[in-house]
Amino acid sequence: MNTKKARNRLEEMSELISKTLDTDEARNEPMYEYSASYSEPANRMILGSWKVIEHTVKGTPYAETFARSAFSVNPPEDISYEATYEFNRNMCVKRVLICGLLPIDGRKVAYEYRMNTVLLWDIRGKTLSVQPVTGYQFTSIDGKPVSVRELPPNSEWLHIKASVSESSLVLEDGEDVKTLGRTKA
Amino acid sequence: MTKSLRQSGAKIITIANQKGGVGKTSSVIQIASGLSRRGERVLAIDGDPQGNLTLFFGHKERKDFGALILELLEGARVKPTEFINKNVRRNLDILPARDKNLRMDITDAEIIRAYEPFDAFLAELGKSYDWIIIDSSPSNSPLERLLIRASDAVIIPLEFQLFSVSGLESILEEVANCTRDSGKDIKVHSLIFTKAENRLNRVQTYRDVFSSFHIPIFEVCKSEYIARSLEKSRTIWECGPASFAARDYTRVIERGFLETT
Repeated sequence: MNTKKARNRLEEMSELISKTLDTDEARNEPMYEYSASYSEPANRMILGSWKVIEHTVKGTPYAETFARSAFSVNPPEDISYEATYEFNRNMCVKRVLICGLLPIDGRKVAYEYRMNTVLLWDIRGKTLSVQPVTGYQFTSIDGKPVSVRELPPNSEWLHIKASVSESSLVLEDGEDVKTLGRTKA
Repeated sequence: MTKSLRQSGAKIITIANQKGGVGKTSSVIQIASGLSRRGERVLAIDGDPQGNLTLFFGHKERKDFGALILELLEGARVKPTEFINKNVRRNLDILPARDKNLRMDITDAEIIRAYEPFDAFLAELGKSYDWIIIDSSPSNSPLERLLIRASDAVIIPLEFQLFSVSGLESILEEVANCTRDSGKDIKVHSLIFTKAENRLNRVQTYRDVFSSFHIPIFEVCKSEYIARSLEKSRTIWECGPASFAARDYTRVIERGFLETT
């Protein structure tokens, strides 16, 4: 029997079994205890929610690099930067929010940039591969939307160096380095 | 939140699976002895005529499980002390099985007649123990039904194999039948995947499929310590207390049996 057939049969059987077991116990949370001999592989350990704690490009904080690249003159000031990654079994939702104050005509107005992206992902050894599927970018100045852009799917996988532990995830894409901390398992 | 057996009020537990070699007797040995080491008063019943549990713990010249069934059938006033080997380990007693021909000596019809007296006998015996852990044989007959009927809950050991999972369907059906016939609410409390080997790809497939089940599922790794434990008649707590297998059974005991919060 090949592996695929065996898996299909296993899934059929387990579905029946699960139905038999899920009577009044259905409200119970699943509780699967791995053997103590089992060390979590990266693809399981990465599941959950992560927040970017530090993000630098060539050693410079990402927010500053972003501000300089988006605005060659008068970049936003007092910038705050938040980015989260939510890894589910097959996909990852990445959310970025950058806020600041933009000097315009002698006054400072609110600047906001958001980018939400859905990525397919896979991790093998120390390489995290991601493929953007959909997403959008949104920018507002002084509370008014100035740009909304849908991000096109990318047919290519991007490969990033990753090292994951129980509580931290470090992603290195060349000189772009992010350190993330776990917010929810 | 999944309840432990203690939280559910269950104390008579049968370890059952109609498939052989899945680690029923081994699990009874390690769980019963692990509970007794924690100060729990435990009776292990060898309900398998092969008598491997009895072989492991040894036995004195006492009447055995088969004799108990016969006496219950005769309607005699059964004295538990005549059947129970006391203190095979501290706090651990055993009701042995020595009659390998039990299935020939006692007919299925007789075993069926023994259902209710056996239920009553175990319920009475349960007053003297914190836990009664029952080993069963790898088949589907009135003998296994006798044991399951008398239980509050069933734990099913199985392997990461398709045939083993296939056997699970039958045992669940059997537990449902026993619940219906006895009028007792007998729960399948948990599954124990024994002989877990992380290096096998198919193990991960099983983990993916079973990790969404709404009952506790434990893994116990394949371990040389368990094999050695059985050969030397020493429990895992005596021959490999720091082994991964001991840690796995510790979780079964603490989370599956004893947890109170």
